[in-house]
Amino acid sequence: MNRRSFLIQTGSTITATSTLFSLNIDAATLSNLQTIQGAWLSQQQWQTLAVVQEHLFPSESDAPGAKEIQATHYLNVMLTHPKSDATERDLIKNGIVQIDKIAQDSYSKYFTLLSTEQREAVLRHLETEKSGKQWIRLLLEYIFEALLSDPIYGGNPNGIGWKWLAHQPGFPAPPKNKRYYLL
Amino acid sequence: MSYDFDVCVIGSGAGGGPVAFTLAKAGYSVLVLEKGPWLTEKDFFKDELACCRRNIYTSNLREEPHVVEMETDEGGWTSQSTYQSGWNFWNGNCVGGSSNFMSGFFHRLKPVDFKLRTVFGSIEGADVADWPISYADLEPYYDKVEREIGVSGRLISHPHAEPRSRQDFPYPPTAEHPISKYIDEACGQMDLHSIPMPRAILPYSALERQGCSYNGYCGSYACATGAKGSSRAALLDRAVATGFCQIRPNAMVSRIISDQTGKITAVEYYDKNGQRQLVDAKIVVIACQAIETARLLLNSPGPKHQNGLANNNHLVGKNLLFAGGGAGSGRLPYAKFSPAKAAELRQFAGPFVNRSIQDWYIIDDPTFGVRQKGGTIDFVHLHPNPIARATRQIRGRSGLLWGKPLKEKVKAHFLEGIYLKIEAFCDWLPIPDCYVTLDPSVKDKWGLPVARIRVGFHVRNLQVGWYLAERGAEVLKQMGAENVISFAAGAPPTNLVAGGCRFGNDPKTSVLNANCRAHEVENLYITDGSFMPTGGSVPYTWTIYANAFRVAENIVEQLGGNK
Ligand SMILES: Cc1cc2nc3c(=O)[nH]c(=O)nc-3n(C[C@H](O)[C@H](O)[C@H](O)COP(=O)(O)OP(=O)(O)OC[C@H]3O[C@@H](n4cnc5c(N)ncnc54)[C@H](O)[C@@H]3O)c2cc1C
Ligand code: SF4
Repeated sequence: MNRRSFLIQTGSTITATSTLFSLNIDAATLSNLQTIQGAWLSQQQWQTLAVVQEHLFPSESDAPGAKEIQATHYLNVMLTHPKSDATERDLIKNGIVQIDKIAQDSYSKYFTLLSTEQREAVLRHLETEKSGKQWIRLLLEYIFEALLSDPIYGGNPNGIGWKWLAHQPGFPAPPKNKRYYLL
Repeated sequence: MSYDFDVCVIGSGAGGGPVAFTLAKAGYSVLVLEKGPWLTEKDFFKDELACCRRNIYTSNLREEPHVVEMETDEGGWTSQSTYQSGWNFWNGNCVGGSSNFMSGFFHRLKPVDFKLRTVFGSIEGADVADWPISYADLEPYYDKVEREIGVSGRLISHPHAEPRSRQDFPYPPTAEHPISKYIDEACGQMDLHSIPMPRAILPYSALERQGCSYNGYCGSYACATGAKGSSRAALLDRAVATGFCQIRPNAMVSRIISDQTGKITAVEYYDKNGQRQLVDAKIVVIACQAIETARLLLNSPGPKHQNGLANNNHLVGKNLLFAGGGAGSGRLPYAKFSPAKAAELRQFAGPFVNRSIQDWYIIDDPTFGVRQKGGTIDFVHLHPNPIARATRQIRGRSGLLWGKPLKEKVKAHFLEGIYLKIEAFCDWLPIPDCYVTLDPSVKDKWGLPVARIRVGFHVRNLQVGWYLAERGAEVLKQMGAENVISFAAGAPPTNLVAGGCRFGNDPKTSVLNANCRAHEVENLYITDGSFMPTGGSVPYTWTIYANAFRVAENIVEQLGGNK
């Protein structure tokens, strides 16, 4: 059992709030992420990323969002597994830096502290640049992977994404020791 | 002189399997060299990331790219490495090759396909040639494929049905989705012939393989039951069981060495550890799939073959073919049908669609032009891959979609109806601007020049592709489909490739003779789709298998018959 599921099962996850950042991922997830990936993003960057993902794929009462499908955790798995490459981590990181820069330039605030409308404006602004558009597209693709890939990869817990879309996956399903990056 | 093996087969896919199987059964020693790993049923799972998004069953594009030349709007050519474009021309690199991953939609060619030039005359800008053999020569081997690979289907009579030596298929059709009967109905109303499409899939256990489990993820995925007629499951496992066939996986053949007389003396390959190895055999058979076969020949010059093996006439790599043309789709919205019918349509798309029409295999329509070669329209399920389907919804009318509008669109796509796809196959014309050469600068991880592929197309492909796709779309509309689209594309479908070493009787205009032996090299045969001067208006694999069986019998004969 990994640390995260241990914390969840024992009910010891805490949702930290701070005055500085509106925390959108819980502190336990955050510390877990940072131990896995050797802090390739700062704490604040993780928050920005999580908030961007939730903006791109919001939770609804009858449909899972980025949070429920563990999009942030999934992205981290994909960017830190044994065959992942540093250039993609840099790519993701650069986008986050961009986002915060646009937020600062336009509103003198961190992206995480903006209203939904302001977040939308920042992302639409980013979209006007070719590289920005590619970055958003990449995040959306990872979100859909987190929604619809096999749960062995860290997203789609209990097939929540498949259930939402009434999708029946093919079989046999891959076992954990056959995750593609271990082959 | 003694040789390591009687026959060395390079490449273990649909072109290589029948040779290894036939020769080993006849008692000859066979070595199969395959660049990829040897995976079996127990290694195969339905993992969209592994198969289709990270492409772990094909060579790594960073280490082994192709370079593709495309025509620009101005009529010039621009080239790009597939590592940059992500456009993958590898189709499956493991024992059994791409045949592990095929959908197994199987069609024979028809008698007319063997003599297009004679029947329809020449076409400007294309180099159409008759085959040196006829349908009757190949028919026994189509029949053999039905039995050895296991082809399931049901015969109906229709105007373009090809002659058969046996009454019906050895295996009844695979299970069908309820949508198939609605295709039949619509075709009936339109006076078209809805043909049950033959499949290289076993509906039940036979040939020491399990029957199909209708698991929903078939095409692009390797088969965990063995029901799919891959070269590995259907042929190589049995070849190895004879004791006469050895398979060496992770063996990348880099060069074929020939002597002063032009004959092959050895095959050079790199083993799993990157060590260079040599092996010799009386006869060498290449089946690396059209593009890599041409590349290997071009990478193998010798004293008598300055321009590459069997290439003194500069024909190797020329007249490359793809099976494609048009496509389309439509959606049957559940809300439009009675609850009972909607419930049928909602059923799990594990069972297949299995329908084709060939009423326009020859187009005799004055509004379209002179009587000419048309093609086949296949009806198939939308590819099930959910991540790919969801990802396609990202693009909005103006810019990217995200947030709730994206979620709504994805939800509607998955939940409000069933999609039906059409794939239309014209006769992809051989033209001077579709060929393989070596790239002058880009090399793979072994330092070998990579294939440079020019992918021009004849405008006739587009015209016929549009025509066929529109006919297919009419059937979809008749069924009550909405959002019906149909189109043709000039871009080649990279998984359906042939040509490049056409066979013929004249050494000046062909690389191979009628038995697929190189005119210039007495101990070299080529048995993948490279031999085809024209492709027929269908996917090629049944024909590749059949021809490889035919050539294999020739090789047995050349070696002195069954041992
Ligand atoms: C997703 C998909 C769906 C398809 N669906 C259909 C279908 O429905 N109907 C149909 O008719 N066809 C279909 N096909 C096409 C079919 O798979 C091919 O036509 C067929 O496998 C071609 O046989 P081949 O022997 O030419 O090549 P392959 O089967 O690809 O075999 C070539 C082998 O040679 C190996 N090789 C290459 N270079 C070297 C080298 N230098 N040294 C050693 N080994 C080498 C490769 O690794 C490969 O294993 C499909 C293909 C794909 C990918
Ligand atoms: S659907 Fe049938 S033939 Fe296709 S992969 Fe699954 S078991 Fe094999």
